[in-house]
Amino acid sequence: MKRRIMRTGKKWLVCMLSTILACGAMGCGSTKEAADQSPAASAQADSSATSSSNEDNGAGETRTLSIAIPQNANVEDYETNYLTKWLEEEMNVDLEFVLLPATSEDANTKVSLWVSSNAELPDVLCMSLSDTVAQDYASKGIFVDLTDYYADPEIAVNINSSRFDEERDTIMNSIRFADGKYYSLFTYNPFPWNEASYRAWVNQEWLDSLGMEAPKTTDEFREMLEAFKNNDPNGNGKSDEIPMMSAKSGYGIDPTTFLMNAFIQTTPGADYMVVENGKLSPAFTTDQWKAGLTYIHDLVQDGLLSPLSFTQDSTQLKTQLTAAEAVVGVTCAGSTSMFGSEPEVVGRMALLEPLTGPEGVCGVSYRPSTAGCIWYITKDCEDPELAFRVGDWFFGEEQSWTARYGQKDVHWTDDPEITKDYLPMFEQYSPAKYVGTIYGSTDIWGQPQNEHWQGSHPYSTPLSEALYQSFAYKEDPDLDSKTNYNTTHLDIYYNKIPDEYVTKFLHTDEELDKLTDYSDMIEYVTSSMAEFITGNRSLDEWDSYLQTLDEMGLNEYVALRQSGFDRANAE
Amino acid sequence: MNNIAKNRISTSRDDLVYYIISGFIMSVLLVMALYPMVFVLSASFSSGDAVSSGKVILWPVELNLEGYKTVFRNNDILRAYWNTLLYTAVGTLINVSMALITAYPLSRRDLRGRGFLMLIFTFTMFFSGGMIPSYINISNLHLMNTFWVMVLPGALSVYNMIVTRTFIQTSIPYEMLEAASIDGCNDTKYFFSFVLPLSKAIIAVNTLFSAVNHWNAYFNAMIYLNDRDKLPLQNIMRELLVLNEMNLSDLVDPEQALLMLNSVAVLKYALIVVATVPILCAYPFAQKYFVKGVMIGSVKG
Repeated sequence: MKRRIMRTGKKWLVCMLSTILACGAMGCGSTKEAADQSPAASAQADSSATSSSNEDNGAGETRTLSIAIPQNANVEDYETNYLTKWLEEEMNVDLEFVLLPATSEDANTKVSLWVSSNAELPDVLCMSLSDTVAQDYASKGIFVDLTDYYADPEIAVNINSSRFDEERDTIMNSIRFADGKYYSLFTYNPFPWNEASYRAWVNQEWLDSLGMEAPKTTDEFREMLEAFKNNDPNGNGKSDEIPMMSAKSGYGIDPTTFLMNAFIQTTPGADYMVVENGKLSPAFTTDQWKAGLTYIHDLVQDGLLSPLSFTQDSTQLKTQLTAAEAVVGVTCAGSTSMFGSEPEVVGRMALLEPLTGPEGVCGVSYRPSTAGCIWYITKDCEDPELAFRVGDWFFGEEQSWTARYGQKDVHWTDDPEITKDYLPMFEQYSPAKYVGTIYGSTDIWGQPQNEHWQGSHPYSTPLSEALYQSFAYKEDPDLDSKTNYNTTHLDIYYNKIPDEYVTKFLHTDEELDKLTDYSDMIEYVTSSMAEFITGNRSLDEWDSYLQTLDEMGLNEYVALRQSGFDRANAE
Repeated sequence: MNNIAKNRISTSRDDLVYYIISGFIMSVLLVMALYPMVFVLSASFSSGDAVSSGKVILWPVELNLEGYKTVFRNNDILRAYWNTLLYTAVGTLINVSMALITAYPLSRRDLRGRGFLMLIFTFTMFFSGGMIPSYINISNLHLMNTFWVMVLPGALSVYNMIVTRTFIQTSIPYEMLEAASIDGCNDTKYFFSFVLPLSKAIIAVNTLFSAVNHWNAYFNAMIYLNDRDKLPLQNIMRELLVLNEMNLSDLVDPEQALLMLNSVAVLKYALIVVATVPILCAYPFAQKYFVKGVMIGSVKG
């Protein structure tokens, strides 16, 4: 017994000793890595070796730029990435990546730690920040003011090229900070499909089997839903049809926006503000709004619009929509991905034209594409001009295309021999003058790949250039097929965008502060909307609803938004 | 015979009611705890489309191994897996050693200032420097972005140390030290030859606690590591999982973002399975130490 104890004791002695040794080794290890004081320093320390070896090639001095960028599961390795290699070669720089966590919340935590612990920052912060955070950092002097670089066509070469002539004002307006300066490069990829995203879809097979035309007015729409409910359009002898169903949240999914736009301009992303002659007014206090609520309430009451639409999430909706036997007649969804990938299931849904209401109103929810800030140059950058030039490099035509689609002539092409087959179908939708074609029917976007950075950096394909590219696949035999919804969308939705709209609200720090007092206003509007529609609250209580809004400070709120709106539109 | 059987039923009626009710409650709890695990397992063997359209309820739909193939093809995941193993092994070794070498002296009655030392240790359980000072500290110690930042901070878990100290105090009699000293055993030898072998149970508990902690740790890696090839599995997993939780209204181009989602749907469940299995496997082996007493017979010999 005693011997056994002695033996195991020896084993442990070895273990403990090795631990102690390991601790000692750690002590030495960390002194060697003395340069690792901060994220930026570690990147620069690594690179000093590489840059000296490059000098031997006679290529001039290779300078180093450290870039903090969020990890992306779909980018295999930023260091060996095709886009990185190309950039390093052309700009003669060596990029070092400091990886931030993938969620913006975690990434923000990490960056705020750097800032508050006064660590040396990487040269470039390549991520989106919220307006509030960005303004805070800018006012603390964390970011370099880029206004002069933007103005200099020698430095901002690509941004000042003719490529951006038509949209430069729009872009610069949306990236300007409240103090009138510019602190960041941008990403700007306008796409009509995203701008009017609250779309409705109808089951075309059902319409055909009932011999009906697609509805144009709210009354016809109601008739169609009744027919779906009563006439067994899927022909299985059971009355299992759900005439209309949607979900409470998701991309372009909310069922009310599409319907309300037949009564009054309804734009959730702009806090439901209606713009007339530059003046904002809330849509949700008008009689038209009440009329719209009454109409939708009746649809729910008569079993035409499923009340689940106000409680379920988009995954639950997708289960219904992708069922092999169709059960849903009409749905609201921004993306065809809601219909899954089975061609028969996707093919049976057709875009429904925006409806005209009893007062002749027919609109769509419109949110114009804006440029987003993404390339902040920090105070610790030794050569901000270089950092700016590198950011500007992405705005070249081929670079931007590579950023979205991958290598030229491998993943896409602009060879006129090939594009000539595709250009005509888009010609009528000027300003498209150029269509790139993607090789193969699979797009590397959203797949793990090592060609580009998955779009998380400055780049831009302006409207004038590559408007409809992603829907023109080289190997799609039938370009006019039903699945090419993009042109249909332009025909029936994009032509109904309002003349005046909210592009963005640009608030000062002080205003942002005040706005937090009214943060539950819009929440109250949307929840009341659901309550009125589902009948949990009677429309007789409309006056008390208006009164509550008044007490919450609706007038002050609109005034604040108005000043943000005016500032964003000021020249 | 009949009578006895009758008697037995009548005497155990209370028990019977108790068993039925508790059995029912326990089964409900079991189903509640088990269902998510079964779901993850089933989803990991299903097709991506079936998962993202919510067709998987209990059993796999459109059975396939695509998720697992992707996991084992992905270099990031394999490297992160290796990193996690390494961090867990080294980190646990350090944790356990630290807990033991601190707990033993503090368990000795003849250590002077024991109460004061305990107070200092306990103090750190309730008050910490906070995130920013810790960050500055790590940075000044030149631990940033190194292997050691994953294993050294929190090397001594005060909680584990207190548990260990109490164990040593209560289960190893002081008389044993006296007896050993009379035979000429010094403190070091006593620690290695008596305390360690008799503390196997608490070492197992310590090991399990720290190993699970290290296996699940992601926050330190997130804050202190900057290179992708140093990241542990949890961070890579989180990266994939959050792709599904994007707030679409914040995005410039939601249609493009939606396209990213489908490819991730299966992968994430396969990854959860792959990441959980090792820890699940370790539990049954460590569990016997929780139950079995070690002191049986040790003083007699």
